[in-house]
Amino acid sequence: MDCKTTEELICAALESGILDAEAARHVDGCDACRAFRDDVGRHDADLRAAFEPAQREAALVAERTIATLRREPLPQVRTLRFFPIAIAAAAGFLLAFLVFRPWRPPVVVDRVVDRVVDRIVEKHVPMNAGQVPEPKKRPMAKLEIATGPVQASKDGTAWTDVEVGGGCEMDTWVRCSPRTKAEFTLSDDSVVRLDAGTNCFFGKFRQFRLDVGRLYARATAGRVNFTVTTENGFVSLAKPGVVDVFHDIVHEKKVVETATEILLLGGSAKVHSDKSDLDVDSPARIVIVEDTAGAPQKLADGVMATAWIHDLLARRGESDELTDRVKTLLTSDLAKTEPELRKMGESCAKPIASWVYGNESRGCADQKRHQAVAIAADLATTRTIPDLISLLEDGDGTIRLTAAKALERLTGLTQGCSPGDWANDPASKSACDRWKAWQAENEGKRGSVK
Amino acid sequence: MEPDGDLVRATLGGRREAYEELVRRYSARLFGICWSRIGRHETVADLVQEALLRGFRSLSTLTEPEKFGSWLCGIAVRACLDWLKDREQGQVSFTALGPDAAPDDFLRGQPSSSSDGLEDRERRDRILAEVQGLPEIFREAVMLFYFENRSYVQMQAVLGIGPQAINARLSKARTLLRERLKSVTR
Repeated sequence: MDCKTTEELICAALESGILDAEAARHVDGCDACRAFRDDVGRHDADLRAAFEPAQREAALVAERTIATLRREPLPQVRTLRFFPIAIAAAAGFLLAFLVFRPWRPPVVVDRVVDRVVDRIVEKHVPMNAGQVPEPKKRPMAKLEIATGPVQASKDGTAWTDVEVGGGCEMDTWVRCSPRTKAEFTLSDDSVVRLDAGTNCFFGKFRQFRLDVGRLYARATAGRVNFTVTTENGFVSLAKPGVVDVFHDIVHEKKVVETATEILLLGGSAKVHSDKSDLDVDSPARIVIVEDTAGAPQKLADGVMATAWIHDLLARRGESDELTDRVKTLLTSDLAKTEPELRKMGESCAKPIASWVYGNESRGCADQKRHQAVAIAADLATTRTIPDLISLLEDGDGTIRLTAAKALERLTGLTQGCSPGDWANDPASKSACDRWKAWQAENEGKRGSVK
Repeated sequence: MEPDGDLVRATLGGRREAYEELVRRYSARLFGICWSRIGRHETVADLVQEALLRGFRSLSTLTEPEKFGSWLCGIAVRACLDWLKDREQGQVSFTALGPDAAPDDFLRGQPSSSSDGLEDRERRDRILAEVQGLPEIFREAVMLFYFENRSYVQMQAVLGIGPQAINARLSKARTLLRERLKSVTR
């Protein structure tokens, strides 16, 4: 391969994240192309970093616009007043005329029924009743969520886009672009999530081969084990469990090694490498370098170790899995976990608010509850209003005040209560009652509350 | 992902959340369009918001909901032209602001970039300025790829050219930027 072609492929690899194997070999042996690759990589990184603040700003503008839109009246659908009614009436008369045909003599009812039955039989009974239609092939996995492009290929060379809602059959390569995360569900309700830049082979049912990248799986019970294989070995779950597998190539001073990190977050699994077979119980972390698995270590914080899936959970919306993760993050050191909670955005406002007014937070320090309600207040949307109203009856004045301010931000209303009233007066029952009455009156108008 | 046409119809049917989804979907693209015409971040944010609000208010006039994207981009372009024209005449107003508010109201709450080093900010600003100075066809490709995070397949649909041509434009854009930015690269 010549240098010019290699340079084109290096540039194209910035989009796909995958450099052609022949081009990679050329780069390894060509100083000029290696320098070009490093140079292009640096400029690519500079451009991405240059646009990041503007991307954040665009997202902020979107949220500010949404806040402004909530005070706008809904756009009115234009209706033509008289014309369509006249058209509909005329069509109705014509239909009645054609159905009843008043100029024809009346037909005996039995003959009418026979004719109708014949027409129904003609339409719905197949001509060759002996032929059984081919059953439709169900895909092995359905793409539920994607933060960017996801592609599939049967042979690893010709790639086609997979649309959200579309499926992947067995024996298919699937890849995510360098900034795309994706979530698939299998027909047995197992969930498979792929991190950015992941390349994975969806083999037979519940069998995956991870070429590079990271795969997170919530495996349900099944007739076959749920298995993720890499170049270093495999992890296999015979019963329901949760596992996160990371595989990559490490280059260091021309020594190339492959490594697989397995985080077992739920259930038990068998971890196999060429030199060992281990039975492991969760929570555990195992690292396999080349063909050697290290001893399993206790996994201290599985939620933060797999925080990469939070983007996908936030896009999915409220779920038990999201709620459990939020609660784990709340009960940990909030100084460390707060940024992660905030990244999840509005989808965790409800679970946080529920945690604050539920029994689980009663044993926690006041400061933690204050911090949690502040996060919920910042992230809250109209869907969180009922939970914020529940917090107005909390025994802690800071909690009541924070909830009241969030309600004011969302609705523009104070129900006649000043900040001092909420902070100091636990008996502001009439204001709470006004909020509850307002909620009951407006719930239907705000649209469906999920 | 729900198609734009369905979201438009849902909004006209009374579901405000449907338009919120459209806002999130198109804010980056409108930001890119306005930025390439105006070039000043503080004004661009106002114009994007203005375009989105105008789109919301006149949504019932959209006869083909499936063409919401191009329709909204047209509104953004007109908002930019209106702003440029008004600036020449010495008066600027945004319907979103209301009579008593000031443009600075929109800047409140912006993330502070004070945590970034000064050198990093200057390099970023210089890169963005050079992108602004690229020829139109290269600037468009850079904005679609780096700002809107589009794949080559998505860019194909917007630009009407194949992936090799897209790759060539991006390569050329990076080459031009590299030459102009020799003093700011690491």
